[in-house]
Amino acid sequence: MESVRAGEANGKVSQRKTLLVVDDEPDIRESLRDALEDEGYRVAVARNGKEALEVLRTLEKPFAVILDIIMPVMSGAEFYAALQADALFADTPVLISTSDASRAPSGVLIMKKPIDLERFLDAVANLF
Amino acid sequence: MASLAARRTVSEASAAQRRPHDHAVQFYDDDDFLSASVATFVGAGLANGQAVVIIATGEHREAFRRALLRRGLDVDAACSSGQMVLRDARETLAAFLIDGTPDWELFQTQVGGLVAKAASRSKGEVRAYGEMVDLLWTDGRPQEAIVLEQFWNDLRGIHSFTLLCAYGMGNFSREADGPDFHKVCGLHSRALPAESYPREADLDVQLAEVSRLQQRARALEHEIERRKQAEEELRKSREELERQNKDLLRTVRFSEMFVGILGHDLRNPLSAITTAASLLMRRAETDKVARPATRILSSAGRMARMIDQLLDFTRIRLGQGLPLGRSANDLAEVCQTAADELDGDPRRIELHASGDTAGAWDGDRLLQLVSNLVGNALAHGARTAPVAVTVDGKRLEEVTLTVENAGAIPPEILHVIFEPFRSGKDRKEDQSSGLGLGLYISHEIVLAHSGSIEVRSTQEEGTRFTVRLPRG
Repeated sequence: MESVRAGEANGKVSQRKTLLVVDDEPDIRESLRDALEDEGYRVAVARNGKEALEVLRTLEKPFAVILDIIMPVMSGAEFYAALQADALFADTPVLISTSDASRAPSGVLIMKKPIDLERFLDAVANLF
Repeated sequence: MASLAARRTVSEASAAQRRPHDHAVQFYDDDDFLSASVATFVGAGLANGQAVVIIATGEHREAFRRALLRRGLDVDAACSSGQMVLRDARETLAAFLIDGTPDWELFQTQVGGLVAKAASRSKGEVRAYGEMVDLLWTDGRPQEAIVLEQFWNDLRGIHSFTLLCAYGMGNFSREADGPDFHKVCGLHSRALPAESYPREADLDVQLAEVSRLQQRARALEHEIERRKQAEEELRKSREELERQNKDLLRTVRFSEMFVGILGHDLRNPLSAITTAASLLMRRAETDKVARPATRILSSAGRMARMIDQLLDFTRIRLGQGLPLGRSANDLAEVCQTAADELDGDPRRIELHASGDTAGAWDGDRLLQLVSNLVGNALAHGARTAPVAVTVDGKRLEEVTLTVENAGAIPPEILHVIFEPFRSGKDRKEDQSSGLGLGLYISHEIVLAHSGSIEVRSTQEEGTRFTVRLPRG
């Protein structure tokens, strides 16, 4: 589990919104963390659904989740189901970033990998 | 006793003239034929004052009785006097079987007793007919039948009697029955053929019949050999097919693994590359950093498209087809999006739309189709004229898309243009041409929408792709 790291205070986001990036690929996790922190978000990361469920409980609202689907231990789909089943977190905004959209749960915003960063950041801004 | 018919069957003649103490077997197809044969054998004995023992099924006993009566023989009187003894085959058989196997001691007591009793009443001359062996054979117990035949032969060493057995020919109808048939014949002093043998006793006719049967046997042996060979070939081809099937299944499994690798394992690091390069672009303060980042992004984009194409290709080839998510779409809008997205001078694309251009199609797949057709026209068409994209929605049932450019496709490529991995001579010169899968996949997208795609290309008229899409 990795702790929340404060973003650069560049003032682009007035309220400290937090994003939890869940992806088993470290390069993707860290690149997204860098890009999101550049935009002024606070970013937390997790390597799979199980870790994400633990990190989630440490976050201050408002927060949203950037979710990969194919991951070891607990997949994105399993994590999403657990999130929906929990009254505390059921309304958490989720953006799915996956290489195989066919495995993603329905009714969720999906961005196919490899992602277009500009579009991704626009979509993230619209999550809140 | 009635006189024998002037023209007797061979079997009848043989049965009547049977040597003393012999053990004959009568093969038969038809019960009437058997009855006639048995009645002749038994009738001759009764007429000569010999004792007769018949061990047969109820049905046969009745048939024999009728046949003897027709010959003027008083069966009831013979039975009453003890000259003739009738026994049920199934019951008599059961009396000397132990665990389904004939027992010599019991056989000697049961059957030997019958024969001995009959012999005591008729100056020692006894004729016996039995069909318990036939029952055993029909029951699927040929080995027990052969044991019983041996018992009969052994019994003939103890008591003096003439014996006639009978077997239905249906017991020996398979080629594999040949050895058993020969074994049965070998256990008898004479084998009498079934009724298919000519009734005329004339030697020439018999010889001709034997020759005909020899020819038939030879032909059948040849046919059996031929069928064995055919079966062997069939077995080999079945094995070959099974082997090919296994290979195919293995290929399918590899392909599915390949799809997994392409879809997930390759896209993930590519996504990391794209994201990092995009971040670099955003952070770049000088061209010195932005330019190489752009190149990374451009190459990563090309790689992503190739992965998509390989995935589509593999799915199509695995027979999974292209999954379609149909929704309300406008082909003219799709063309506009494609034109906006394509690199290059936008003035080189002229878009014309007329009529109702809406339908229920997969929007992403249509965008892929139009981007491919227009992208090809921009890349390969002569720059002397713009690329004309026309969407015609004036027909009720379908919308037509045409993409036209100046310049011709070489004839040697034109006829294989929708084939996958086709190698054009410009393949090496133009690195952006990708894998040669674009038009193959475009064709599949159109087919998945139940539409059609065709191309015409001449130096004079240029190149025109025409796509007809049913509205869905």
